[in-house]
Amino acid sequence: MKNSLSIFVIFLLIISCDPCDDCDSVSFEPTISLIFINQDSIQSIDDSLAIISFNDSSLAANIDSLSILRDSLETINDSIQNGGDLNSEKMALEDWIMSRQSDSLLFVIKNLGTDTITPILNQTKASINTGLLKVDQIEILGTSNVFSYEDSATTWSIPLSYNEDFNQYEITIAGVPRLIELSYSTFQELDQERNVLIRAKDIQVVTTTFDSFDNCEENCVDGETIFTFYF
Amino acid sequence: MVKPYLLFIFSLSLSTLSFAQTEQVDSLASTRSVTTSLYIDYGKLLTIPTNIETKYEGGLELLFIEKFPLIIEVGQAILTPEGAYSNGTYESEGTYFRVGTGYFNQFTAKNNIGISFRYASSTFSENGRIFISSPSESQEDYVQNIKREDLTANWFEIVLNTDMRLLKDSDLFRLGLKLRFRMLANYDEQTPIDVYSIPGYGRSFDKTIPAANFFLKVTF
Repeated sequence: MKNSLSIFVIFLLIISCDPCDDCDSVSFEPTISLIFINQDSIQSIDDSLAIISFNDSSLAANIDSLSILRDSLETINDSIQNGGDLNSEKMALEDWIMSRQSDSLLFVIKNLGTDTITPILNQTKASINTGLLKVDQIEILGTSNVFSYEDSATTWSIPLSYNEDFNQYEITIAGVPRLIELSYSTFQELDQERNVLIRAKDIQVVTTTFDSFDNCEENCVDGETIFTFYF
Repeated sequence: MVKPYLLFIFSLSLSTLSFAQTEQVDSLASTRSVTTSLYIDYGKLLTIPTNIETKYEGGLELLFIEKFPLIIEVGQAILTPEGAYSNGTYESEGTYFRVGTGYFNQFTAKNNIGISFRYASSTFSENGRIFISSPSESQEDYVQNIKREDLTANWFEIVLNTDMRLLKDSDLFRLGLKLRFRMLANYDEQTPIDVYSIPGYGRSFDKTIPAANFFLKVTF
């Protein structure tokens, strides 16, 4: 019994002395969020919507013209029936009117299709405006870190360095790489659990090869800063 | 709202003064003009086997006409509290002293009781090591050493003490208890991560701290 107790005590001592390298570490790094808006696609959709809108108005104008023309011809027809001898012209005009009306009806049928397409295009535009897309990869230049992605998302989180105040990132979307350069300053902070953390403030986009971007105006600290880039 | 320990100290103070006024003491003929005592805090010696802290503390007491003490206490501490940095190691090491005076009186034939005040000062250093790992694994773990030397802190104390004679016919050895109420006056604040433990006082963000000491006194 005594031996068992001694072995147990020794065992406790051994496991209590087991060094634990990760026991006193916290997993944290400053990050910011990026949103990428495909402005070209939005422009294409806007163009399509404009064309559809123009066609709608043209169609309405054509229908109105045809109605006026038909009314006029009916008046002429009545005049002819009351004594005129323009029967052959009347027949030609009636055929022409019927032809135009047929075209107009076809246009109306097509327009019914555009009534369905327009909301879909608007929905697609709204979806693009949220930033939903698939990024091929994000590379932190100067390091060997490349993050590849399989799924679409609206925001993309990138880490900032503990020890630097400048980072370059290469963002590849649909096979096209674009550059983002960020500047910031790091500081230490003690959180509520008394973890000492490295955070970043004054985060700004220095340069980028994206078409345009919305820079951070105030409270530009990690975890809260979101940059939107347009391409 | 008054904290319970403040009520306790206040009531003990009143009791001390009350007993001091009502108890009969030896005749003036036997009163010693100066009584010299040395004492050690044996409670702190119990911290030596632990890995949380190591403390030594003792004091010199000159008791004039068996009523009015002049007290000098000195101590040394190595503090390694678990909660200083959750993601790192921490050690505060330093020395401190307290000087003060007060009023003592005999409570019973074997017991003394007293109230006194202290000014205290600590000189210490802090050493630590911070560990942060990268969740994205995009960079090396962050490790930083914290080393601060020659820090100082000052505070005041109200001390209620009582002791009892260990030997039947001798005042040579006495065992006692000191109840302290510490009030931090100032310390060398640090940014962005402030001082955590002050040897002799306690945690820097506690502006008032109650404490208790068990001591063994040798009276000459």
